[in-house]
Amino acid sequence: MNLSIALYNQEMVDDFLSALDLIDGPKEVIIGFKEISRFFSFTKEECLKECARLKEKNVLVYLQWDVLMTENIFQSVFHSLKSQGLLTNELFSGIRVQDPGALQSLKEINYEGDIHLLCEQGNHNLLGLKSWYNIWPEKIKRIILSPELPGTKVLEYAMALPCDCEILSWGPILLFYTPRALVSPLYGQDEDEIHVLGTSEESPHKGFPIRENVHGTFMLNTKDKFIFDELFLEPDLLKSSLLKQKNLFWRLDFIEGPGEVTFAQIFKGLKNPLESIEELKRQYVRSVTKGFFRVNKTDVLFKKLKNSRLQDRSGDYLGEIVDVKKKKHLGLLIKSPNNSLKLGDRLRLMSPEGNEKVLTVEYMQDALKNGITEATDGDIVFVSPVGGISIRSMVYLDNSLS
Amino acid sequence: MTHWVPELLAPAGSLEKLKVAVSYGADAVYLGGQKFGLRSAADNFTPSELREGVRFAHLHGSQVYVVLNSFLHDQDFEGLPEFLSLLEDCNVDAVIVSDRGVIEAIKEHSDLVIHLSTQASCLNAAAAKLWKDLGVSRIVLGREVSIDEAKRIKEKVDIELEMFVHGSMCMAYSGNCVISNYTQGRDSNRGGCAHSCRFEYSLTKNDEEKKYAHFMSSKDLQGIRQLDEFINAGIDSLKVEGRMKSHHYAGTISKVYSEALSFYKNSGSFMSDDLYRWEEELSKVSHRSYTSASLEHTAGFDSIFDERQHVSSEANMAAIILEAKEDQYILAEVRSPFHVGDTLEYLPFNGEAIISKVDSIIDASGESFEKSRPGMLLRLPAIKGARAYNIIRVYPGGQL
Ligand code: SF4
Repeated sequence: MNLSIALYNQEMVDDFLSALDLIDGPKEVIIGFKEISRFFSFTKEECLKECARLKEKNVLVYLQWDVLMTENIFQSVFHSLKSQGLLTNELFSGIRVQDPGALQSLKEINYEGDIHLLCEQGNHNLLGLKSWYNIWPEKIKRIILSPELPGTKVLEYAMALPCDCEILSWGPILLFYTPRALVSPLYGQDEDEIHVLGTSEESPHKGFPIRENVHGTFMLNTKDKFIFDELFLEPDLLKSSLLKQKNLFWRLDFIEGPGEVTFAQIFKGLKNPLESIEELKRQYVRSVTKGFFRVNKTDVLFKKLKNSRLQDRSGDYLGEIVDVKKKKHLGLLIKSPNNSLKLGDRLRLMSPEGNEKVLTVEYMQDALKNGITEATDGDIVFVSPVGGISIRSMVYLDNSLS
Repeated sequence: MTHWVPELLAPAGSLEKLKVAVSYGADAVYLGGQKFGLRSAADNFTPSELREGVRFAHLHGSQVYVVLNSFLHDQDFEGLPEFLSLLEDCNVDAVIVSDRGVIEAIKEHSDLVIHLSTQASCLNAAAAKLWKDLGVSRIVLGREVSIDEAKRIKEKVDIELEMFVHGSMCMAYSGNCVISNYTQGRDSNRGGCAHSCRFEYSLTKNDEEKKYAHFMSSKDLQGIRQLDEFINAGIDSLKVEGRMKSHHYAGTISKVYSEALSFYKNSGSFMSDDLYRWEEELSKVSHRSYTSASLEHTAGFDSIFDERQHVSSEANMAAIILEAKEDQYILAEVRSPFHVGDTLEYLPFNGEAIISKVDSIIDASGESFEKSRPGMLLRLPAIKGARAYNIIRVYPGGQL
């Protein structure tokens, strides 16, 4: 099983390195620094120092650049990364980017390291993922898949893509990211980073972790993603194929820290999953969910909301009923540029409920009750009333007898 | 001599709203078909409505863009090639897309012009260059980009740029919010957003006392005072948000911004006495408090909407004119009730509103009423210059 792990602070790096002294662990880590990474606590200097320590243990270190940046900041950050030699493959084995601008800029300087492309937001089809990969096949070595994908899709994509794939397996799920500072104004401005829990009466879920830092405000799901129980404890053909898939990486990503559990326990536990998974889950403290790993049906509810009105306005369409006065008249607004209404025409009227009626136009009047003989696009005419026909009924010329 | 101004792009949530927006001066409208767009609850266009909408818009010299801005899952591609053929057949002027896969499908199955949706959060020149190379001909920039930054992007990349000038705003980087997915089982990137950012939250920090706030809710964008900056930056299109909003909104916003832009077109400036009137008009449609968000500076705390501080200056739309017979009468469909004695305000396509008092309420059959009710077809006295799709507002009790 290929593991990848994000190390957000000094404590995590220390814990990771001491775990490696005890047990075989992940061969690669993700690290970042405050200027370009959303959640890492390191300064650039600290990050480089930790990177060197990790490389001493023969661990591949990937730099995370996941902060989204508008033009002015983007330019200044990119130039500073370049001028400080951070965009060579000497320090980091590769770089992880989400912004297509970062990908483009790395391409323009012919970046030598590997690129891991973060496709976690809104990338849920193979056509799109393949075309991201095809932007720079020589350098894009990994695609980080959306945490919303079900296991079947993770396997399908890993099998179809000619590069590595990665999926969040254990850790918080990011729900929301804005560059605006939303929390600090409520508490005063003196903190670099603020963590709060948010609860709304209007949401069925309580206690969303919300954190604000220099890059903006982030909301996390109330439950973290955890799919190792599903993978190991409920085996089937899909899960065994997933576990055998050579180019698939499983990411451990503890933005909020690993709780009571140590990395040594985690790595050991994942080697003996049958005995350890439930215990790891228990020690983790935070509640967990499989998310959409079994199935993603997030389109079902809103499909029901979609209106299924399929009203035909082609061919013999004439207009719409805009007024119904019982026993007096129907007001008909002519809306077709192609058809006009003449005395003696036969009309087919279709109510929104599906009632169909026919009417032969024996008289037509305007709103001052003047008789008229022809009406065209934009005119409203009044014709004899027809039962069962309401406002918004569609009107067609009925040529079936001609 | 006339001066260059950007296109005004208005929302068209339905065929009737399209006609209203175009009649009130929108240079282009955007709308959704029955599938593939993000506004699942909007009154999306059927194929024949689409055909009629394009015909009407083109007849009035306006363009039509169709949104295909959902982020699709594999199974959602079903029917896309056929829908693209329909759009080509209807002569739509462009499609607005977010998903990388959808762009590929469009290139494979059609020659449609592709605009990149704001959902793709294009924020910088390097990203714009990449999207251009992928076949996109216009980019709707992320709402976090300032006009000044947009100008720099424009200088570096030869591509059409579109920016939001007015309307509600997603608080998140567009495409980067999945609150509804996890809390309501509705995919916000496929039209299911439950607007959880508008909720009131109680916040707890270190077990301290709770604070109650609509802390994630954004004020609405208003960029009327930044129009000259948009023009100086060479922004090609100014977009108004709001396919779900009313006819009143579609008409008023289109009228105000198109009047302002045509004033500039003729005079080369916005130094108009009408500026205050335009702002006042914008305050009459349904809205949260206004902000210029990130158009000039990074959006700050003053861009957050606290419902409790809101003072409404909104007006009600009383009716929409369906037929206007010069010197004879007007037939108007009632949208909200009004009484004899109330004041009506007719909003012509150009120029100032016309005020009139309601002396009587007569329906199309000639019957008199003290009060109108929604859906009624009323016969009103003729007003010079009144046209079909003009909006009529009401002010209760004779007060404006
Ligand atoms: S909940 Fe708010 S921030 Fe999230 S997608 Fe919907 S409008 Fe945007």
